[in-house]
Amino acid sequence: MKTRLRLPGVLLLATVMILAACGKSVSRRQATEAIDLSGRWNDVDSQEVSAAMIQDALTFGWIDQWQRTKGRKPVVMAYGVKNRSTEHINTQTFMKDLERAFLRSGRVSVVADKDERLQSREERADQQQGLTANPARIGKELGADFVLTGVLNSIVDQEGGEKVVFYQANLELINVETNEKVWIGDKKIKKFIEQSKFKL
Amino acid sequence: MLRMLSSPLRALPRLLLWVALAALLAACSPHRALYPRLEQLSRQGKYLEAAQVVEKNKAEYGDRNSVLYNLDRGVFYHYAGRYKESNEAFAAAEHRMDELYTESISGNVAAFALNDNTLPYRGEDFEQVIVNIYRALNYIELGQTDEALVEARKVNLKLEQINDKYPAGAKNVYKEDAFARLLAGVLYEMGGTRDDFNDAYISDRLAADAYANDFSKNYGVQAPEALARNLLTTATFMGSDELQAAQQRFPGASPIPLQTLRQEGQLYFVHFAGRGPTKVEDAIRALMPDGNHIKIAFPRYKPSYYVINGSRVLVDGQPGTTLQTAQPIGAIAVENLQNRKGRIAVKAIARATVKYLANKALQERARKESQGAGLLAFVAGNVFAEVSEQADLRSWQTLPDKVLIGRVLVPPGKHHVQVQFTTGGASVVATRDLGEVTVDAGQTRFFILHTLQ
Repeated sequence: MKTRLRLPGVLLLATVMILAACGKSVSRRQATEAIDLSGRWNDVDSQEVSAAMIQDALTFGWIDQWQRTKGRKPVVMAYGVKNRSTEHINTQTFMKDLERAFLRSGRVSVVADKDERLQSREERADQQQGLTANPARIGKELGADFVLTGVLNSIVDQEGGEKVVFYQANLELINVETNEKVWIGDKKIKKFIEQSKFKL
Repeated sequence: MLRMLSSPLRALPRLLLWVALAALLAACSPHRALYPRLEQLSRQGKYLEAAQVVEKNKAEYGDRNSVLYNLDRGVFYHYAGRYKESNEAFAAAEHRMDELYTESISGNVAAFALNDNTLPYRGEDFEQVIVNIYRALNYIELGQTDEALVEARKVNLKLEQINDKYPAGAKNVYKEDAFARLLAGVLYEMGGTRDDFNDAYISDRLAADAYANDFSKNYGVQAPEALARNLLTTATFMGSDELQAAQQRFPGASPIPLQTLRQEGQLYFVHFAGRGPTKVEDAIRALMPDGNHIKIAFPRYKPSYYVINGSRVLVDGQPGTTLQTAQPIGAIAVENLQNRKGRIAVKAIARATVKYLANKALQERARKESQGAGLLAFVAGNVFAEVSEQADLRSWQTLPDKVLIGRVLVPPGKHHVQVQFTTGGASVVATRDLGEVTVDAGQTRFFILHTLQ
């Protein structure tokens, strides 16, 4: 009798497990909340880099100095960040954050990067066909005074299931005319990732 | 009478359940039945279709073999020239491989009770590195050199991890991947900055070490000429000490002058040749004194035969280069398995012992109840022993047997490129016309070739 009772029990358990595996739950979180899943580069890292860079770039004296000597806002163009890490990282996220912070501060102008420029040029060329009532004028592009560039490095030290990842993000503003670097931003992130060898 | 009959009958469902379960697990990798069809499609060059066949049969692979599913998909998309899709598939495979670093204890118990096929497939060490080679090539073809370099750095990390995995003194033939290092060197060179050249030199040197220490000793594969020249070139950039060391290592080779690098284009050819060996089962069966039989099964590699063993490149009708073996994937696979044979055997013997003892106990208990029950338990137990013991024959079967590499330096402009596939010697088996190829000064381009014949 005992054995007979076992089978429905097992079936019930299996059903519960299957049902549990099928359910997917989604919960919305604050964009700033730190959720680390895999230990790889994630949104939190990107946001930490943005926060540090924005704060530093806007308080460092280069903007005021330019304003004093040139009498106008500096114009910045974002160039790519070179990814020298061991992960495929989208560096546009923090670059865009920084561009946005520049604009919102009202103290720095931002111009389109290479790819974006091609798009607006295409549109401008199209407007010259005689069909547009108010065609954009040619030769009015605002040139960049500074390029914003950078590099993302990482060092990984690992042993068994333990891993220490160290990221160093450096962003630089380089004077297009003189090659002078007017600002170097820096953000270091260190993570310890543990993966157990066994689970139940 | 009724009691006599009822007890074997009561035991019957449980025994049948075991036998059914074992039979189910025996046919545990149904995706392997797909390979003949996939191979046929590959031979016809219908790679995209092959990728689609893999995708349609996702259920056949099952969750346990999701790594293999994505590897197979990734390979076919790669040969089909769908580099983005290929990368997505390989990324999924890599992700899963990482997760599987954590072994399931319950899974291992199941594997111990039945066989290794019940475990999720994580991929052999060398398979885990080859993923990055394919991904790097994908990124090159997509024109994303920086991303390709990420793959090169990942190879570094993985090789470290692999070497850490084995305790000091443990036999582990696959320690270094000379070809992955060679490719990383080329990628760093493509990066073009001073730092990149430095990194390229380090990779080239590691590659040369790996060919000298591992690949030539274990598989008889020497450093390809392209690597010799690259090492000398990057060493020249580093300084006289490095150059001297490199010259001692490759006395016959000459560096490529920096000016040539700037003024000419480099065409690299990567040829994936043949089909890798496949795993087959070797089984030992023994009759125990009490009439029970035990079975021990383990995998063995069976070589695959193919004709095209080499390739030659013609540029504008003139001989360009003869490709050389850079990575003997099949030989690495065989050697790697040989390495682990002891460990596999220990596990299989322990498993057979446990199954035998469990059978015996069950039979004795059944015999106490009745003769018929004893007989039934004996038959069922022996069927279970036979069916449940299955060697783990899974492997990344869509890998080639070897990878060849060659490089030609050409003046910038348009060139007509043809590839002759050979038996390895002089006779040409087939010719492939790559058409007009454009290369800029200082540019490095890659051409990927795949043959199964």
